[in-house]
Amino acid sequence: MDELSTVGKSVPRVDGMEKVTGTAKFTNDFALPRMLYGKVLRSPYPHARIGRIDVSQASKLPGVKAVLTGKDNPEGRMGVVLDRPIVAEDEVRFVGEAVALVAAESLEVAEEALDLIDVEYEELPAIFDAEEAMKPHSEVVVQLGHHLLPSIPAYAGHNIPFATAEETPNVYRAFHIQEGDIEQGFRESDVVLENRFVFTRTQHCAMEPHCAMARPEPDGGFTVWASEQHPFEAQLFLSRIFKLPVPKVRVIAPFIGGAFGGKLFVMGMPWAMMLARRTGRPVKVVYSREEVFVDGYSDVPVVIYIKDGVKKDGRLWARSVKAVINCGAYSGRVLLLTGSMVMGATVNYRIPHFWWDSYCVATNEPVSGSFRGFGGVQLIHAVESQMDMLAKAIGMDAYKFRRMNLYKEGEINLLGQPTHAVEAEECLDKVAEWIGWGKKPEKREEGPWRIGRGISAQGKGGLVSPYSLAEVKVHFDGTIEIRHGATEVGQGCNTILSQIAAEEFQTPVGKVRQISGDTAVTPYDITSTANLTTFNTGNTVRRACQDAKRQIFEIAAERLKMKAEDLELKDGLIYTRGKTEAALKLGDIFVPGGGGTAKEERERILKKFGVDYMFCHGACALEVAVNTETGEVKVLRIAQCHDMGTPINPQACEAQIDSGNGFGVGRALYEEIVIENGVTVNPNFVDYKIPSMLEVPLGAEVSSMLPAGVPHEDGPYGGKGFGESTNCGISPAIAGALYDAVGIRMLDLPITRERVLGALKRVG
Amino acid sequence: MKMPLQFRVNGEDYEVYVEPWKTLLEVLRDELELTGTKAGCLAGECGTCTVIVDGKAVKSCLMLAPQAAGREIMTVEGLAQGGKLHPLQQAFIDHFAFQCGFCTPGMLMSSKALLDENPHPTADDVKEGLYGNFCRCTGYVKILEAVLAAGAKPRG
Ligand code: FES
Ligand code: FES
Repeated sequence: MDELSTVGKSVPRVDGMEKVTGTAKFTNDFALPRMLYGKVLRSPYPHARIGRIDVSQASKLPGVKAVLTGKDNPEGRMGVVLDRPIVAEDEVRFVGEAVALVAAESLEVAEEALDLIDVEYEELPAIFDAEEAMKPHSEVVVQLGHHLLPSIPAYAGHNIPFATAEETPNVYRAFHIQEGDIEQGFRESDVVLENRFVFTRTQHCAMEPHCAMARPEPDGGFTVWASEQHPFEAQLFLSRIFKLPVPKVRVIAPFIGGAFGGKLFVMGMPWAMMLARRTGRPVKVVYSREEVFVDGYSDVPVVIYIKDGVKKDGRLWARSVKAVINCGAYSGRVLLLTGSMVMGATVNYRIPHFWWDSYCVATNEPVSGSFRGFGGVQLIHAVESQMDMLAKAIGMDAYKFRRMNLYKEGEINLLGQPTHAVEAEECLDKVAEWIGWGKKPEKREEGPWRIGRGISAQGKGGLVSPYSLAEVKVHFDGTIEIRHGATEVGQGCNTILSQIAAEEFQTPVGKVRQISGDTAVTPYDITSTANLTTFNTGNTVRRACQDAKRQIFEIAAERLKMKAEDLELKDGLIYTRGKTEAALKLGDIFVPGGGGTAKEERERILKKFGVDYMFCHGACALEVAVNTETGEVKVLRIAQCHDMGTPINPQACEAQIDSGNGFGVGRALYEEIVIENGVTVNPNFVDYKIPSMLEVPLGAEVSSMLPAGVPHEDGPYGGKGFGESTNCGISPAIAGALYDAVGIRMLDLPITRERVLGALKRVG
Repeated sequence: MKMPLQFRVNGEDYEVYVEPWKTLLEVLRDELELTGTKAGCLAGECGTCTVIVDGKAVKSCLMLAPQAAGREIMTVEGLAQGGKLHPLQQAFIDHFAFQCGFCTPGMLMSSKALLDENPHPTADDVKEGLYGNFCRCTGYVKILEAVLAAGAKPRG
């Protein structure tokens, strides 16, 4: 495919003009006439029975238009198993749970009204530690009868049964897979190594706080503007919650100011809708930064036990993993992670004997959510740290040890899926070469600083979905309009999809117009998560374009008395193959009397792809300096390489890789939501540190590389998605580099100064 | 309780009536409907609300409306002149220096204040000038590139 004109080129992002001039509209940039401001009163207790709620004072405050409590709830609930009431009813189950809602003429009045609501609580015993909570016959039960709640239909392809039992009431879900004979595997291994890794809670910290605005419509429905990654899922959930026909809820997702998995699951929307329904006026609910930290569906705390067996010659022989996932007080989305986390241990390395158990456990901590990598950060940190330690134990180089165990093209992985179009080895080679693996760093020390290197590999799968739809409309002037349901969260999907349409129509990217993220006007899309958009939506856009072209050629062929196969399109002109003079303008076929108009037709992807998953692999190598007096760790240089099939827009791909650096360094070294007795004690950017420009390597110290680009057979132009995994390999490489520098092995994240100092003291 | 507030924003004179406890950010977004300036934390911690006040980069969520009286303010909407992008804006596009774009207005304003003071900054100058502006999407690599590129160009 060497004659591609747009795909494979670093065309500028199509949203550039809007984003640099301040005209790009995010949800909170919209305001409606007669709009009210909504605010949420939140529980101060991790677990309590709610007694009387007195709203009389708050209701009397001038400017207050509605004060609602759990009694005013709509019928439905939130969460994967529909267990979280929109507003708490008889009990609160975490600090920060919604207890009452206010709508007022101004934000100040709404906030003042919150202080006037009087709630009586009767405290109940609470439980925070997931390992404690999963013990049989736990005295504290977060939610009675949880296992009796209805489940959603099997999560896109993962047919995971709910394995819950009476005697473990806080275990919401268990997931198990196995391969070979694990005990035999350990018996046959020359070295067996077992460790426990602990991961605390972290926040996505998208720069845009969550926002939802709901307008009641005359037909009893709602229009909802929201910072939501998945408008179609939101539409479905909201219609269930409010018992409305699906089309009566219109969800519009304007530009989204970063998501990273944190803008899913109808956040804020039901509150705005309840208040709008009561007042008959539009209501906007904006989360404060503190609310984002407290009830922003942060990443899950996880404890991972991992036991590995390896042969002396370097072959990984057996691996067993037990993951205990702290789901928080309600199911949120984390139930799904119980299953999907397994990817981090199953798609990279060949292992004959494998055993996996994961448990999703309810506690009285805030509800956990999905996060870029969906369990990958934690699992890959554990797996890759083990890989370092195993290599050391058998006296092998960490890079060579990884490389020899990687799956090769065509091998069936532990998920039963073929390895296809992955360039895991190339990625690993490229980063190793860039960092100078195997050679001595120029300096090993300087004053109190010690320098070391680390390396990691990672893999992640994404479900190939038949549920992304697109429509293509060809306008009179040759403008190609594509309508799709994917959302531009910053990842650049609008640019990639424009490029694909431009390629198909042989027209400049500027001639492509997009309409997206509005459930009323765009066709369905399963979700803009999990590395899926380029692959699934990209494929669909391409097919819809081909279908539109087919129809255009049919009409033109009739007009020109020619065969449709002999026609081609370029820059809005229709040519006879081989001729340099155009036969027709695209607009000509719209002229009546010439065979009708181009028919607008939704493309239905009924045929499933040959495989269920596509996999993207990558590698990271880096160099750190650690200060032996203060415990400070600095990443000096970093290289990442990720496979993506054919890159549709190389520079945008590089930008996605860079993007993982900031995330990964923050997660590895600083980020941690501190929760004491259920209370989030650091819900702001002063106490929860995310990297600024000073904490990440930049310029020549960074290399974001693409491998040669083996086209994926089923991907659009051979492309596939990868952006979600670029943050997953950094922490294990940092941990490896620390070991290299000063001989300490940090198992848990984040690797804070205090922890480094503590570990240094222990080794003396 | 509203008070009159006169100031200049993006070269235009304004007189608005606002409560004295409103922040400049609120006045810009809610009264003037200049929503390019973003509210990421309302506590001076993220930099998404950065505007230029009398030539200096200021976090507008920390400045009260009365403090803005009589001052000359520039927001991201005022950066392009006569339909032509400012070199920084062009550099941000050319270098893929944004993804979601939420930090971009603040980032551009901090960068402009920096370049106005120091037209040819080094990488360290840029880091020093922009560390108060968080970006969660880009890893900062391309932002630094863009600002350095805009700084390297002779500017009119
Ligand atoms: S909103 Fe002003 S610094 Fe964050
Ligand atoms: S581009 Fe999204 S925060 Fe900077």
